[in-house]
Amino acid sequence: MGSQLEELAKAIAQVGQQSGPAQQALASTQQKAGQISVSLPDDESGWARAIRTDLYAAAQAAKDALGALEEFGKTSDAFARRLVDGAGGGMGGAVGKHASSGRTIIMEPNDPFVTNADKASPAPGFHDVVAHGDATSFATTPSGAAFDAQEMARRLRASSTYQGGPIRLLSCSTGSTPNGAAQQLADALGVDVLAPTDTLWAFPSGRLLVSSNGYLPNGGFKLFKPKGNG
Amino acid sequence: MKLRRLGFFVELAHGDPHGPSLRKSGHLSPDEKAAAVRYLRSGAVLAASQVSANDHFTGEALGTLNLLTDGTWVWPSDLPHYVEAHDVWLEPDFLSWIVNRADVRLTPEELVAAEDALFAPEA
Repeated sequence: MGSQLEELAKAIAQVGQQSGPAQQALASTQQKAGQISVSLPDDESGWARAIRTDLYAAAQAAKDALGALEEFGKTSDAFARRLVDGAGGGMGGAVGKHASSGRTIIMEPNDPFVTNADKASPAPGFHDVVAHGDATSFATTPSGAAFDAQEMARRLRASSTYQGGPIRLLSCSTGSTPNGAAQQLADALGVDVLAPTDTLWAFPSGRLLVSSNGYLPNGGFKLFKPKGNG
Repeated sequence: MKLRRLGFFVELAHGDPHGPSLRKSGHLSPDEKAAAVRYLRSGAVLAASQVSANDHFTGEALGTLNLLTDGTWVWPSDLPHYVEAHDVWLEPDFLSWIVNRADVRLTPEELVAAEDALFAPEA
């Protein structure tokens, strides 16, 4: 019975994880609609206004679908955990390693960014790492000493909150260059890393936006795979 | 109603491509300037980032960049510095708006409403 429950929990967790790529695609669609919208001429009298209205509706639909998928991911993850707990925790890390959507904070916990990011919906199958960052490095404070991806990997391995598996970096611009901080962390840990291509903004509702200025949707999260693993 | 944007100067990395230019103006009296700086500094944090802002002219570190709001306007957290140190231009509508207005106080619900207003379509 226990092993059957474990198998069921694994299957449920996997379904939840598989919503991750769909969520990324929807987020990308939403952002692209925004990008096209802001690039239209300012003339509001004719076709540009009609297209902008349609694009806004498309972006809203993508946002709604994204919310539904996020909720599904959370529900499936939580359900899988309850099954495992009910079975006596026999499968331990088997689900936890990949269905975990926990969070490791490597900056001041009372920072407004941490307060807002704490409310963000998890990306199913990804563990959030919250730290100051730029294209090539990380830091614990804006003016603190920067450290590289190798040091970040060392800190994560030593962390009690990170049990392994894919990572979503909540660190500004760490995914802005092909071989920057995100790629180096993916290589160091041998896991997929999702990282923002520009400044990451966290809002009171938990909304995360990758944007140069906090409202133009001109950035996004990019997936970095460890080199050598295909 | 959509939030009105203020101080997203085109020259700044976090500016707006269609925003105003970061130019010295000197159009404010000392009292107007002090009132504007005080009000802008009292804004509630609408969006928090992790990046540091630096003065465009001097390179001075200005602290972490956030978006601030009063529920009607939204501005980057380095704007009061540019008003105070460089006498930059501010929209007359905003200067009229803050006359006799107390410092910003928003409830959590008002802050979330402001977030929705930031992303609302243009009227």
